[in-house]
Parts: sequence; structure tokens; C-alpha cells
Amino acid sequence: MFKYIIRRLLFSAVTLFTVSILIFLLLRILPGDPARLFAGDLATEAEVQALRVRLSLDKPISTQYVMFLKDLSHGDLGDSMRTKEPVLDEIKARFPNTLKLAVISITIASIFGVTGGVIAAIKRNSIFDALASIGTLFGVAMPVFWLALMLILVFSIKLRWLPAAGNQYPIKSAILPSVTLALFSVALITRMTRASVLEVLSQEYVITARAKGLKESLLLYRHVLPNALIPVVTVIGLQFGSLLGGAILTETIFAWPGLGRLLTESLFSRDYPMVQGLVLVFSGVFILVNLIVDILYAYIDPRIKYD
Amino acid sequence: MTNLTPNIQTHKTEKPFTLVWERFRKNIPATIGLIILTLLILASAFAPKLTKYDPVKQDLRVSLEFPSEEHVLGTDYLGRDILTRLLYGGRLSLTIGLLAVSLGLLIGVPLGAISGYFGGWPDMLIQRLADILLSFPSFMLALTLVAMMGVGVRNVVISVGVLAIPSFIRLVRGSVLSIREMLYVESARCVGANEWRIIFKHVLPNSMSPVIINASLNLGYAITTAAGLGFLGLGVQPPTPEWGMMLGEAKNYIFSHPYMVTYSGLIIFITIVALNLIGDGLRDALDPRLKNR
Repeated sequence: MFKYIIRRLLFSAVTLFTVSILIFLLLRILPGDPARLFAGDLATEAEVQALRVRLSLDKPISTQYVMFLKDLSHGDLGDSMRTKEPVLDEIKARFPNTLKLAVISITIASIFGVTGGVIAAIKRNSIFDALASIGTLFGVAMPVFWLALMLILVFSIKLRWLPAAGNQYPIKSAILPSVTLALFSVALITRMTRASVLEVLSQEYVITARAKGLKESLLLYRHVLPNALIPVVTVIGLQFGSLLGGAILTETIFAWPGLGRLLTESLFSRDYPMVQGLVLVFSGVFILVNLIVDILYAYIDPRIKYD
Repeated sequence: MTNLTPNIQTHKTEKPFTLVWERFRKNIPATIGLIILTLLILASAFAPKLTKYDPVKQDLRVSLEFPSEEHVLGTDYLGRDILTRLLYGGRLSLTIGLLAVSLGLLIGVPLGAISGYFGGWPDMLIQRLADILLSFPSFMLALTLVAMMGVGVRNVVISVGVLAIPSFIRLVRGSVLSIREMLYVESARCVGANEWRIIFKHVLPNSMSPVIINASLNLGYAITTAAGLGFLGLGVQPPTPEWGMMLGEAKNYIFSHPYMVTYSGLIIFITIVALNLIGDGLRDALDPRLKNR
């Protein structure tokens, strides 16, 4: 177990390191002069040259990468081209907003998804099961950007209950974006839970427990759910990871001041240091969450041996 | 112990395709999905026959008109008939999805086969590649790639196609690993077949079921992702109609013309539902063991 964790940690570190090289190269080997791109079309040649020196783009690419890593180890991701503020400070300021949406969404998704999935499985082939499977189909098929607009249309424009954009009200503003984000995860978790509970229900130890006359409710809580929910925990964890990095469209539509919207803003204003920092942070968080999920999985399922 | 003659003749062998098609056809939701998708493809292919309007020609005198007999779904901010643009838009949205998944297939399947068949350092290298691709949140990766490379059909296809690669690598590797040990592969090796011949003639054709299922589900995902890029204005270049971009444009008129944001989103939604139904149907037809999972 310990060996497994160490190995996973090492792998994650190597992956993150490779990712950093890729991001670094991506911004430098693309056609065109990055300094010219950073400076904009209106800049004079002298300004571009000054920028080139300031960003060390005049040095060989290997030297640049070493400098980039050195800065990175001090937590320095450079300064934003747009606001001139350190990239890390902006990211730190926005991260809590993204985290807030992700936490609310995953909570909604887990409650509805697990409950729905368990009921659909134990009442298999009932009307509820049929509704749940249609609901999950719609949930996975709904484009998140369209769902967002439909919710705005109904709850902000027609009913005027909830704000369509921004982050002025601590609870009211978060409702529509969280629901938008949650829907896909609800659908996925429901499907996963249903499949997993059905799988466990067909196991021999469940049949044995039934045969010896164990009450259905006790059977469910003691034998079925603990085993059935193990893979579900993984799905929830992975969904949480993608919510942290996948809220780009939702945040942009709801003008939610999180990391996703910061990324679209930075891409449009060609704020490359910010893009570089954001992609690195997004991938870092994503890798970290996946690592935690894997380790957690090994902990909660003693049947799995990792060596 | 009366009759020891093996009873070979009575078992009729069917072609695998016919068998799969028979099973697929009996699946009502999957058939509905296939009909919807066929209609969508036909509607976009025969768009010029179905509408008298031009999808790109502007006519500012009739901009932002409400639905009427002339323009069933109304006109957009440049006076173009929205229904016409939806019909033509399907061409690009569907084609981009198809091309992106094909790209994922063309790169992912051979890499997965090499990885699973040979093992060793190629396996290690290819698996790390998949790890790296999977360590980016997917929409972020597509968005950043297309923003860096520049907009346009080709770059959207590349950015979205890259996302599909790792799932094919993993899937094919998994099934090749088990097929590699089969007796018929060993027999092929015994008669001296070349490694590549074994991979392409014997191993890959037998690991196609999960690949086909994954491709159909990935197609929906690719279409949504491409539409998401178009929605942000980072997809196809205007004035060519594309569903995601149309929704992005309609969003600006959500207060004055709220009905406009329903159209293209709804059509993307219907497409994805159809593809999901087909994907599930294919899964049940190709691999009946997985049924009801």
C-alpha cells in the first residue's frame, strides 16, 4: 500500500513535470513571434524588443525553461500582461469562487445521483427506473452551455427569481451556475450507482443473506450499499476533479469570477503568462484530485492489492 | 451412447454483421436514435432543396424578425433565415464531430494496439502519453489548443480529436492484451506470420466492438465540445453557419428575442440523445454480456 502511494506520487510528479514542459513549449513553438504576439499589433519594434528582453525570449529555449522552473519553484508564475499583477495572486483570488461552485455542485450531484441510482436499482424495471434512465440520458446529452441559457431564460428572464450573472449575492447567485454544473454529474452518478447496486445484488453473498431471512432494509445497508458505493466514490471524486477544471463555459456564461472565466478572458486578451499559469494550475489540481481518488479507492476497498 | 456422430450441420452460422444488425433492430430506443440521426444527416445534406434562402447572404432590412410564415423560426441579427442556417449548420457540426473522432481513431487505435501487443518500452511510452493527455481537463485542453493554433475547421478538428485519442489507446490496449494470448494468434505466429500482419489481420478486427461503441459515444462528445468552442467564438469562422456559433450569437439577444437561444441548442441536444441511444444499442448488440449495466 505504502509502496503503491509512493509510486503513484512519483508518477504524478513526472506527469506534472511533462505537462509543464508541454505548456511551456506550446506557447513558444507556435508560429509567430511570441513577443510580437504578447505586445500586440500596435507595438513598435523597440517595444517588442524590450518585451523580448523582459520575458527573456532572447535567450536559448533551454535557458528559458530552467528560468521558468526556477521561478515556479518560488511560486512565481510571472505577471499578467493585462493587469500587470502576479499571475499567482490573481489565481489565488479567483480560486475560492471556482471551488465554491464545484463543492455545491458535487454535493447536489452526489445526493441526487446516489439516491436516484439506488432507488432505480432496487425498484428495477419500475416506472421510477424508466424515468431515471430517461432523465440520465437527457442529463448526459444536454450541452452545458445550452442548459445554462435555458435556466437563465426561465429563472432570470421569465420568472425573475434568480440573477442571470455575476456574484453579488452569496447564495442566490450561485444557484443557477451550480445546478448547470451539477446536471451532468447527477446523470453520471445515477447511472454508475444503479449499475453498481445491480451488480452487487446479483452476488452470491446477497442471495445467501436473503436465503437466511435477513430483512431487505438491513441487507441493503449492511451488505449491498457498502460494496456498491465503492466505485461510486471514485466517480464522484473524478467528477469533482473535472468540475474544478471544467467550469469554463458555465463560468463564462454566468459571468462568474472563477478560474474558468479567467481562462477565457485571458485567451481572448492573449494574456499568455496568465494562460500558462492557469493551464498549469488546472492540470495540477486535476492530477492531484485523481491521485487522491486513486489512493482513497485503495483504502476503502480492501480487496484491491496494489503491488 | 447411441449416437456419437457430431451434429455439425444443424447449427446455421450467420454473418456477424447480420447478427449485430438483428439485435440492434430489435432495440427500439436504438432504432429511434438511428432514425433521428439519419433524418438530421439528410436534412443537412439536402438543405438547398429544403429552403429557398441563402445561409450566409445578409439582408439587414429583415434583421431580427420574429417567427412568421416567411421565416418559420425568424431571422438572425444579419437578416438571415434561422431555419436555413440550422439546416446548413448541421453539415459542419456533424462533419467536425465525425472528423475529430476519426482522428482519435486513426491515432489512438494503432497506438493502443502497439502498446498492448508489444509491451515493454513502447507500451510504457504510449501509456505515459495517454496519462499526459488525460491529465488536462478536456474542455480546457481543446479550448487552449484552438486558441493557440487559431480558429477554423481544421484546428477545431485537431483540438477536439486530440481529446478522443487516450480513450481509444486505453480501450484497444486492454482488449489486445487479452486477444494476444488467444490460440489463433499463437497459431498465426507458429505458421510464421509477420507481427504487423498478426496485429492488423487477427488482433485488431477482434477488438473492434469496444472501439465502435466508444466511437459512437465519443462522437456526441466531440460534437458538443466543438459546439462549445463555436459558442465562445473559437470555432468555425463566420459567416459559415455552425450550431455552437449560432447559439453564441443568439445569446446576445436573449432579452429581446429569447426564443432564439432555444433552437440550435435543442438540435445539438437531440443529436447527442440520438447518438447516445445508438451507442447504447450498439453496445447491447455487439456485447450482449454488458446488457443492462
